[in-house]
Amino acid sequence: MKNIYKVIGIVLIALIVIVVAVNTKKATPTDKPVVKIGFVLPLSGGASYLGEGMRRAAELAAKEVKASNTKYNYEVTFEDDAFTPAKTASAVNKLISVDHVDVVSTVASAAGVLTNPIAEKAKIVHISTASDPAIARGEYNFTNWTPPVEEVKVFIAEAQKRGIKKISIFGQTISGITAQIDELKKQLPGTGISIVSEDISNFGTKDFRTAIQKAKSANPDYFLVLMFSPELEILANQIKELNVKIPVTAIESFELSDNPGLYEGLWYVNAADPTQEFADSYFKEYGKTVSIGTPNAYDIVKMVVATAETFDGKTKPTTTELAQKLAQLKGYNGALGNNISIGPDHVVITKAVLRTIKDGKPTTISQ
Amino acid sequence: MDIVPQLIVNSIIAGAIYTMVALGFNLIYGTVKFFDLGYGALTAVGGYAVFYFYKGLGLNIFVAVILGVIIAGLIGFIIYRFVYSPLRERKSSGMVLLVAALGAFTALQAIIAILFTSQFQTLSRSAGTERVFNLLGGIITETQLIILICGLLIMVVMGLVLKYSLFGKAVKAVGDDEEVSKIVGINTSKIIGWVFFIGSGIAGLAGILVGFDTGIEPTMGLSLLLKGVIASIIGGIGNVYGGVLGAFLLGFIENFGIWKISGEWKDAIAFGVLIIFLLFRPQGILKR
Repeated sequence: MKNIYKVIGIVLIALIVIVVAVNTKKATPTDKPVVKIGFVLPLSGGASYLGEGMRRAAELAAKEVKASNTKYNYEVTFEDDAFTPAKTASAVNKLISVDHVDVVSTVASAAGVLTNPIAEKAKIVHISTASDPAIARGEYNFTNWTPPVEEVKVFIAEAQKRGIKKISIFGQTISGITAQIDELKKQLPGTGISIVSEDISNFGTKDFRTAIQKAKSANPDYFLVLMFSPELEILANQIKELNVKIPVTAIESFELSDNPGLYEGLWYVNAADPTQEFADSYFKEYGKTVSIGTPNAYDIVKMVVATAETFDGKTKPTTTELAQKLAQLKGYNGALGNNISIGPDHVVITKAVLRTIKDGKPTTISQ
Repeated sequence: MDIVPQLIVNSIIAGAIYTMVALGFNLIYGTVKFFDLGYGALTAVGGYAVFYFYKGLGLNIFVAVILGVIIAGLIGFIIYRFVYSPLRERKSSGMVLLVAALGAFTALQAIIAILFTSQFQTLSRSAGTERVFNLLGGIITETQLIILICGLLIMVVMGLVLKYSLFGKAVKAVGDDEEVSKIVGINTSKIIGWVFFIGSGIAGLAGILVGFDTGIEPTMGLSLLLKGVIASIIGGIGNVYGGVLGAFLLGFIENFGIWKISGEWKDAIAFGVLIIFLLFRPQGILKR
């Protein structure tokens, strides 16, 4: 009988030791509250090059954060939407309800517009790598892409310098492009530049011959192309086929082409350039040059970290607290430049640049 | 008004593309009397077969095109033989066949995307630098001229074959009444099999030529099919010449329709015309 009491006693002591050990472990700094960031990216399909680059950049940021002494732990997870808005919605919902992320990030205006109400309803911070300012409406939504207002400013300044008076626009029915056209119409009055024709096509249109002919007959100085690939390349080829000699310029579009050589020597306006420091560290880590969207993905992770680190580190801030603090972010130094701040409209303000295609590659002319 | 000649040429080019699609679609519909949606995906089959043989394996362009047409034809025949034929033998309703065709369309599209990715591809090795010709004061490229010639040639050959050959008469007989055709000794299964092979081959050729003109993607079949169906309905469904007439009419309506308004209205105009025809002249311009 005594032996039984001894065994029970030993087991009890062992249990107490285990419980104490487990509790002690919980209190160690390695088990800090975790802030989760979920990215919805095009990791398959035609735009997978975009998603893969952004995934690498987000992982690089997470790796750097992990190596530093932070109050919280940070986790990044990824979901694929194949650049299809319908898949974006289910991917976002999965991140919110299954992975319980605190922050969700999407790419492109269509995905951003779609995620906006989901984020508001779920009270989850949403940062979109897209230009449409409408995405940033509400308490929880933000955009991290050079806004159209900045891009149009640079475009008008360059157009005036080149003596351009009349432009014909080729656009697509995409909210980001609509935002750029709206901004152009807002800023052009009084600049001496006018839009002489405007042709908007649906996504998937392959025949632009009539649109080109219409634009040509309006006698513009330049064609301004606001389109995505592959329609962009098809348009460029059809302009050549029809032997139309009117020069072409763009806001961002040439950068999105998988055949930039088609636009060799042409100037265009692009979203903010990545810093050399980021380009170097990205190249060092992956042996690749930075691609479109990579600095944005990197900055999204770093901005969330910068925001969360303003809290005490004892308990995880609520997503509402995170959103409120993020909206006040000022003087952030990141992959898209120094002293970046978030405007009152929840748009991360970065500066547009003037670029050209040189030897088939995008090259910055001036910042 | 200097825009008009090019608008006419653009309309002819669009009409020629729709003609190709409508011809094969009308041939199949006129014979078996159901909407073969799978037909749309065969345009992509033809396009991707050429992409593989011509750009992937580096075969001669003509050999690649012939192989592409044959493969599209064979796949169309196989779908008929193993999907549609058993369903028709069981006297399945038109709705069942339509759903089966939708399944074939979706499956083919998905297989192409798995094999070749969803990336848009061009078949031409000289995109944007093709030889161009002056037609009616507008510019037309070599590929577009070939599309136009092919469309008209297929129409003429098909018209002659259907009118004067034994095979053509058998096709017409099956289209008129399959049961009576069987009674008079026509091997209807064989005739329908050939119709699917030829019609699908035409779809494949349409996809190949569109691929050389603009490019290919797995989902390219849907918009081509819809335009082909609209052309067929406008012109007179099941009527070879009606399909051609409808195709060119649609090409002109679309291109002149967006003369003064934005290109985003193009599809709305096309479907608006379809609705008008369905409401006021469902049999189309030319009756079967």
